[in-house]
Amino acid sequence: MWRELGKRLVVLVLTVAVVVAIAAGGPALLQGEEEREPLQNPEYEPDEVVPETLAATGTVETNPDPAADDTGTVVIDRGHSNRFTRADIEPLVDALVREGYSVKFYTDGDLATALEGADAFLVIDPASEYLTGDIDDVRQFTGNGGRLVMIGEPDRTAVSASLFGTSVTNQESRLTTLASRYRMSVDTQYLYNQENADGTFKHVVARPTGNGGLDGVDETAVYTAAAVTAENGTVLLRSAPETYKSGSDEVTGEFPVVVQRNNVLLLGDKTFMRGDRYRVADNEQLVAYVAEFMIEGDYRAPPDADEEAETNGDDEPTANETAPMPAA
Amino acid sequence: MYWYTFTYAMASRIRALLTRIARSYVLFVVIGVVVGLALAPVAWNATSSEGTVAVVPVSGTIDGGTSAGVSSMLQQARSDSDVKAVVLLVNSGGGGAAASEELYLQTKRTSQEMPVITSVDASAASGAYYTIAPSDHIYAKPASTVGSVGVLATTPQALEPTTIISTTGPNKLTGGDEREFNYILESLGQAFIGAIFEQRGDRLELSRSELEQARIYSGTQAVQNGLVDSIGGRQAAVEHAADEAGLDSYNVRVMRPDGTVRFLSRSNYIASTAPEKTMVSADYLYGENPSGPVFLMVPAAYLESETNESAVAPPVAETGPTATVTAASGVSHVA
Repeated sequence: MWRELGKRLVVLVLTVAVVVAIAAGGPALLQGEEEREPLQNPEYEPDEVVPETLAATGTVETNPDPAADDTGTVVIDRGHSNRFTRADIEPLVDALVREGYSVKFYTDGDLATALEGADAFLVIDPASEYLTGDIDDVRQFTGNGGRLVMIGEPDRTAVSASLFGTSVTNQESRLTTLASRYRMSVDTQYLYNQENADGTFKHVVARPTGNGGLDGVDETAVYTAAAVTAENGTVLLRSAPETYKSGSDEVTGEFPVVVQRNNVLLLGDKTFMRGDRYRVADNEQLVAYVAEFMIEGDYRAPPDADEEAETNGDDEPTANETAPMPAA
Repeated sequence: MYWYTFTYAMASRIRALLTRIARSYVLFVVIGVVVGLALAPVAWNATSSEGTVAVVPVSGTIDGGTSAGVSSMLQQARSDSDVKAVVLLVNSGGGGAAASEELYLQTKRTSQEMPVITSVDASAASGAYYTIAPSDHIYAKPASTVGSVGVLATTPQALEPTTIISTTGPNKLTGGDEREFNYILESLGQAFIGAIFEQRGDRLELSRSELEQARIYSGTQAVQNGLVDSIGGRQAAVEHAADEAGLDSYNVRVMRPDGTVRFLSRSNYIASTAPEKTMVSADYLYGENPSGPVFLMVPAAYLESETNESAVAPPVAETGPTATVTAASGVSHVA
């Protein structure tokens, strides 16, 4: 009887073994013909996907007109809640200092007094408009050989975090009253370019127009720039082709970023000369140009400043506040 | 006595009847019919259907979990020899960049093996659009939102290794400065746009830079600019899929992700037919204290207004895809 049972057990075990063997070998036999094709992803070709980085090398080398003074002073406006940090101006200050120039800040008081004896006046991103008295002082300064450099910005949205949460404020470059007296203006929209940019669309590449003194500059990178205009001015730098203005997503152009009109220079971006950006592309040469422009200024105090009503670099009499409104 | 005789006669008659039934074929025919009817549906399906259209829902915020769930559903569809076509049923505003890329690759692989047709519910924005880009045909509804082709991330703050935190390299804390970070982000964006053009370049009416502006479009606008192929719902998508696969008669199998589906956007939440759904805050995507940059493929509108209110799920129970949106903000529509 035990023998019979043993035989049956052997049959059982053999059956299990055969079933398992079929289960193990079956799929391999069935799938033998099918070969998986590896997925091809030409869209992820690194050379196509990775943007080319603009080189960030170079040093600021100023080469001012030999006729310019070896020494002098540049006054930087701090009296109109100007938004800039030490890092924003350091490369420029460094270039001026190396040329033997000193830098002074104007914070309050009589602007005419502060500008006396200076060669250039630098106004960066003021948060409050210039009052008439200050504008007259600046115009008298430029009318007597002093040079004015205005640096504006598009409207910016600043996000600040505090204990009470995050707040968003809009910042405007309040250059309208000062710049408009020189027939210049700064746009409020930022420029962007998806094809010619330093990494991202807001970091626009700008190229010299061939006019003015930006010889040797191939391209510069401006980070959050505004278009600038000047009536009868010379455009020194324009944004690369296919640049848009924020909010006008369908209009492209090459917008002026740096313009010059007589002894006034207007730039639509303050970030190109920042400590960590001034080496990108040929930004260092643009910094050098701004420094040279200021150094070459030569303010000569008029014999009697009180009665001075000289025209100053442009043909508009200073007494005129605004042009008469056309009749409606 | 009489009673006994009667009982005996009765019993012998029943026995005779049973014997006759047992010997005749009637019983076996009856049993055969019963068993046959029980098996009939299986046989009916086996012979009447030429194949199955698998419906794969892609709903909720695309994160690692969603990505794994959808990937596994697509893998099942590919390995099941009965599945001849896949319909992606999408209602998502996107999510993490890498998770969205994984889904893109999964859809692409599936569409190489069988027809993949997509039906867009409330939205297929950003990473969700990335997911469906390799589809053979995309249906959307007039109120669907598609597009937002781009990547967003919080720029790392400039930090300096100090005496408190020491590092072996200057970029160990932040990964790189803002300028370098933008180059990283740009390379992610270029891969995204390159993939969309690879898949739909022949149908897109938008230029590369127009697509890169990362706008959102309605379903009808998307048909015009080629981001979507036609207006239609899920039924249209299923029929189209069966047609593409050459199936005259077919089964539809809706695959379900396991677990809870989480939504960052209220409009997606309401439009979803997922069995278990919850809303999440934007923090959910960023993590509580993210140590590195988080690359997101979602429209920025999803991250702003709904951060606080989304912590509590709205009191809208199971609703169909045509639910009325009342307190929605951002990119939602009142239908």
